[in-house]
Amino acid sequence: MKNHKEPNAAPSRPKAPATDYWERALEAIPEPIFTTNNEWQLTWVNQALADRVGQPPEALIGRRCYEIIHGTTEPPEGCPHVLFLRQGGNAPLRAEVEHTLGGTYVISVTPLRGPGEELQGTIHVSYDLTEHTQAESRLTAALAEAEWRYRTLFDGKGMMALCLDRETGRIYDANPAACSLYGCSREELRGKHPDDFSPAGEAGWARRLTEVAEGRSTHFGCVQQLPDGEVREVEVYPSDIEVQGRKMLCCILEDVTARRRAAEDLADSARFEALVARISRELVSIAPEGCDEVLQPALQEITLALGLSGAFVIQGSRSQDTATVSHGWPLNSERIPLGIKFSVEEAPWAFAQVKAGTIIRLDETHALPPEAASDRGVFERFGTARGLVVPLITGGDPLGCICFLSPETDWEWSEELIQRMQTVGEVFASALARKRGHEHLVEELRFDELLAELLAVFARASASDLNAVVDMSLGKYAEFLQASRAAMVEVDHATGKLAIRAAYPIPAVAGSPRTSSALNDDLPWLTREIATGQPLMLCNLDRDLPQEASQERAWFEARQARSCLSVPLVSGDTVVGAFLFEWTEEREDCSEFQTSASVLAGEALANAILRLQAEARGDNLRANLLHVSRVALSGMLLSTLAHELHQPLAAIVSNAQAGERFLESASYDRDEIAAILADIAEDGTRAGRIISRLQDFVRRRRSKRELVDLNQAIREVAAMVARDAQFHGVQMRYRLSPDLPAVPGDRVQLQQVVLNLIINARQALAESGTREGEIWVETSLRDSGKVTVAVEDNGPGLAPEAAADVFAAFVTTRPGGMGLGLAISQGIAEGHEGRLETVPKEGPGARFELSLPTGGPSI
Amino acid sequence: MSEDTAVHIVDDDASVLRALERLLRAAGYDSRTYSSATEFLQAERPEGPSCLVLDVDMPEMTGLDLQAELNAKGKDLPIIFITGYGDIPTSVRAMKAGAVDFLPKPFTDEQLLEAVETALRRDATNRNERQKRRALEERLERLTKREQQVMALVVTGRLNKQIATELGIKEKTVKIHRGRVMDKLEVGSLAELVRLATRAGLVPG
Repeated sequence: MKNHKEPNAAPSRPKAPATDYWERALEAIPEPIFTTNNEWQLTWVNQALADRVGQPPEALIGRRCYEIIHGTTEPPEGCPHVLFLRQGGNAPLRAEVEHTLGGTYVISVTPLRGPGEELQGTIHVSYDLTEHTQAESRLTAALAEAEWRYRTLFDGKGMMALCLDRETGRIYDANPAACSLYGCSREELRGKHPDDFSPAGEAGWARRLTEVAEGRSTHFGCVQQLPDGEVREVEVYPSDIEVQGRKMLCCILEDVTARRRAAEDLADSARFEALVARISRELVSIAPEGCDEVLQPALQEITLALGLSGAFVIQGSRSQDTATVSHGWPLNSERIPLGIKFSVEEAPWAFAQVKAGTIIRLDETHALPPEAASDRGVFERFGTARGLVVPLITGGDPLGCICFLSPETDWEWSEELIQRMQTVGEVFASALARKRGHEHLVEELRFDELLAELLAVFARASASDLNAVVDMSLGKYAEFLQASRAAMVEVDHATGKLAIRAAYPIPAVAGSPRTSSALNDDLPWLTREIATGQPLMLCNLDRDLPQEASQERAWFEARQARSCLSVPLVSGDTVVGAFLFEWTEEREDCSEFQTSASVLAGEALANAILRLQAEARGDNLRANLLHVSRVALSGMLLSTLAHELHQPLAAIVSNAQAGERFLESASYDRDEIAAILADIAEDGTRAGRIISRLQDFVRRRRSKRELVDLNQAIREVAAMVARDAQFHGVQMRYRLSPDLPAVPGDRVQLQQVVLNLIINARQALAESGTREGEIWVETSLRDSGKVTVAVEDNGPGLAPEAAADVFAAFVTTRPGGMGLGLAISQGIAEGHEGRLETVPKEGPGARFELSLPTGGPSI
Repeated sequence: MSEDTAVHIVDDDASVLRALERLLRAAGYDSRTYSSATEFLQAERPEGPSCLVLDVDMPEMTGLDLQAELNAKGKDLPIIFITGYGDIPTSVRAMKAGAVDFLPKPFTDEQLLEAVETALRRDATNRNERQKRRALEERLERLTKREQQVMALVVTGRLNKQIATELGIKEKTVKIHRGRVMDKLEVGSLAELVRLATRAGLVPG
C-alpha cells in the first residue's frame, strides 16, 4: 500500500509536495476512491468510500476490490477490474456496475505504475451515476483545489494530460503519456495549440473549451492528427486549475481510438449477430413451407451486411450424388447459377469435404488443393474459386452447403468471418432441415390421405365398379406423383406378357385399353422386374435402363417417358401387376418413403383389386342365377303381361281401322278422328310402358345400389301381378306403411324377392284349390329400425318339416318348380344384409318376412 | 240390316271398348257398350237381331261366366269372344259352349266384322228357326192326344194296320185320325208330314 502512496511522480516533477498533501487532496474528493495492489487488495481508501461503506478505512484495507464493489467472493463477469486486466491493463477503463453501495456506478479503473512502468496496482474511482453531473462538477472543483500538481499523481500512469494556457489556449505543459500520444517531446508541444493537430474541417478546441467553460458540457471529443499522419480520436476532460497563480486548463485526454474501433467492431458484430438472430428467429417462427421466403432475402441481407459479392445455397439430392443451387443472391446474376445442377463426378473433392463437414476456404492464401483438380471446373463456374463453402449439416447426411463469394480478389477470409459464416450455416441448415422434415411429413401425410381415400373407395366399391375404381385410384396416384402418364399393367399368365388394364390419362380413343389390351411389344426385362414384386425407380430411363432392356428403351421412348416408377401390386405371394408412372422429364430420386410407402400402397391396392375381381366373378354367377330365376319368374308373368300388352294393341288396331273407315265415308267428324288419334297415342304409350316394365325386370343387369322406396317398388310389383292374381281368382291386398324409410339396395332385386313370394303364395293357393284365396303384402318399420316386407296367404301353409329347408336351392314342394325362387330370394336378402324367413302365423296359410336394414341418412 | 240390329260389347278396358264401338260404328253397326258382365245382364236389350262381343278376362264375372249364365237362361245370343290370352283350353271351352268365334287380341277389323256378320246371321237364322218351330208347335198343339200318337207312329213308317194293333184300335179309326192330322198340320203328303215331324224333333234327323 505504501508503495502506491509513495512518490510515483514523474522525475520531471522535482518539486513534489509531501505525500500526505496528495493524500489529503484525494481524501477531499467526494467520490469513493481506492487503490489496489496486483492481488486486487485494497491498499488505500479515501474517506468518501469509508463513509459510504460505513466502516473505518483500516477495516477496508487488504480486502479485495470485488468484495467491496460487487459483494462477491470471486470477481464476477463484467467486473471493471477484470475487463481492465483483460484489456491488457495498460489503458484506463470505465464500466458501469451495480455497486454494493446501491445504484449504478461508473467505476473507472486506472493503472498505477511503478518507476519502471511496471504495473503496481490500480486506482478505482466510483462515480454515482445518479449523481453523475453533480459528482463531476465536484471532481472539477476538487481538481481546481488540487492545482495543477495534481497531475503529477498521474504522471507516468497512462493518463494523458495537457495543461493549456487559459488565455491563449496554447499548450503549457504535457505529461509523458500525452507526449507519447503526440509523439513529441514536452518542449515540442509547448506553445503549440491543440488545434494545430486538428485536421481541416474538424471543429476546433477553442469553441469546445468555451462551451465547457460556460458549463454547457463537461468534456468533448475531437480528432487529432498526429505529426506522423495517424489520426486519433481523443476525449478531452478540461478543468480549471491554478498553477503557480496562473489560471490554467488541465485537460485530461483519453485516447478513445481503440475503444471506438472496438465499439464499432462490437456494434458491427452485434449487428451481424442481431441479423443472424433475426433470420434464425424468422426461420423458426415461419411455417416450414414459407422457409424459402426467408432464406432468399436472408442471403441478400447477409451478403450486404458483410459486403460480400454474393451468396448461394446448394442442396444435395437425397441420394447424395447430385446437387442443385436452390437459393442465391444477387438474383439474375450470372455468378449465381440458380437451378444449376451438377453431379458428384464433377466435384468429388467438394462433395467429400461437405460430407465431412469441412469448410472450404479459398482466398489469397488458400487455394484449391491438388487433389481437387477435377473440381476446378465447378468452382470456376460458380465463382467460388475465391469463396467460402460452409457445409449445411444438422446431423446425418449433409443437406448441402452455402457458398459465399468474396467481395474482392485480394480478400482473405478472417477466422472471425469464417466463424460468423458457420453460424449462418447452422441457421440455414436447421431451417432447411426443418423444411425438408416438414416436406417429408407433408408428403407422408398426403400419401397417407391418398391411400386412405383409395382404400375407402375400394371398400365401398362393388365388383361392378372395379374398372372405375382402378381408373380412379391410378389417376389419383398419378396426380399425387405428378406423373404425366400412368398405367396399370397386369402379367397375363397365359402369354407371360404385360397387358395394360387401365391407363391415365384415360385414353380418348373409345375402348382403348379398357379390357386388358395386350402390349404389342414384348417387355421381358420390365416383366421380370415387376414379377420381383419390388418397387423400381428409374430416374433417368436413358441412363438407368440396363443394356439388355432394349425393348423397354424403345417402348418408353415411344411413350416419351424420361423417368419411370413401378409400384408392384402384390397380394400375399401373388404379383398381380404394377402401377407404372411415367414422367416426361428426368426425376429426382423418389424419397425412400415414397418407395417404401408405395410397397404398402401396392399391397393394399392389390388386395382390394383382387377382392373386387373375386367379387366380380361371384357377382357374375349371382347375376346369372338371378337372371335365370327372373326369366323363369317372368315366364309365369308373361301371359298376364302379354294380355296387358294386347289390350292397348287391340285398341290401337281397332281405333286405326275405325279411323280408316271413317275417312273412307263421304262425310266424317273431324273431332272423331282427333279422338281416335289421341286414343291411339295414349295406347301406344301404355304398351311401351308395359314393355319396358317387363324389360326392366327381365334384362340381365349389373347390381345397382340406390335408395329404394319399398312401397313404390311394391306398387310396381302389384301392377305386374294384378292380372295374374285376378285370373287365378286371388285377391291381392296391400297394407303399406306410409312412413317407411328408404332402404339402400337394388330395386329390381328387391322387387324380385317380393314377386317371388307373391307368385309362390298364388301358386300355393291355386294348387291347394283354396277358395277365396287372399294374399296380403305389408310393409312396416320395426322398432329394431329394420324395414319389413311381409307376404302372407290363406293357403295350406308350410308343413313344419318343409319350413326348415324351404330356402335351400333345388328344394321345392311343387312338382314343376325349380326350387330356386326362395333360395335366390334369400341370397338377395343376404346381399342386402337382410333376412328372409318364414314366420308362424295364426290361422291357415304361410307368412314370409323380408327384413332389411335402413341406410340411415348418409346413404 | 234391320233397324234394331245391335252389337253388344262387354270389356273392362275402356280404351278397347271405345275403339270397338268406333270400329263397328264405322262399319255401320249400332253397338252398345258395357264395362262389365253384370252391367250387361242388368241392361235392357232391344228385341232385334243382335250379337255379343265379349272379353274373356274380366274381374268378378268373366266372359265364360257370362256365357254360362246366358246358356243357363236359355238366351240364345251368338257370342264372339275376344281375349288377350288366346290360350287353347279357354277357347275350346268357349267354342264348345256355343261361341261364334274366339278372337285373340289384337285382331283386324275384317276378322271382327266377319265374326259379327256371322253372329248376326246366326242370330237371324236362329230367330227364323225359332219362329218356324213356334208355328209348328202351335199346329202340333192342335192335335188330340190320340192324333199325336197316330202321327208319331205314321212318321216312323208304320202301316195303318200295324198302328191299329199297337194302339189297340180299329184300322178304320187310324185312317180317320191320320186324315185329321194331315188336315190340322196342313200337309198334303206323307213325305211332307215326315219332314215336319223331323223339324219338330219328333223323328231323329
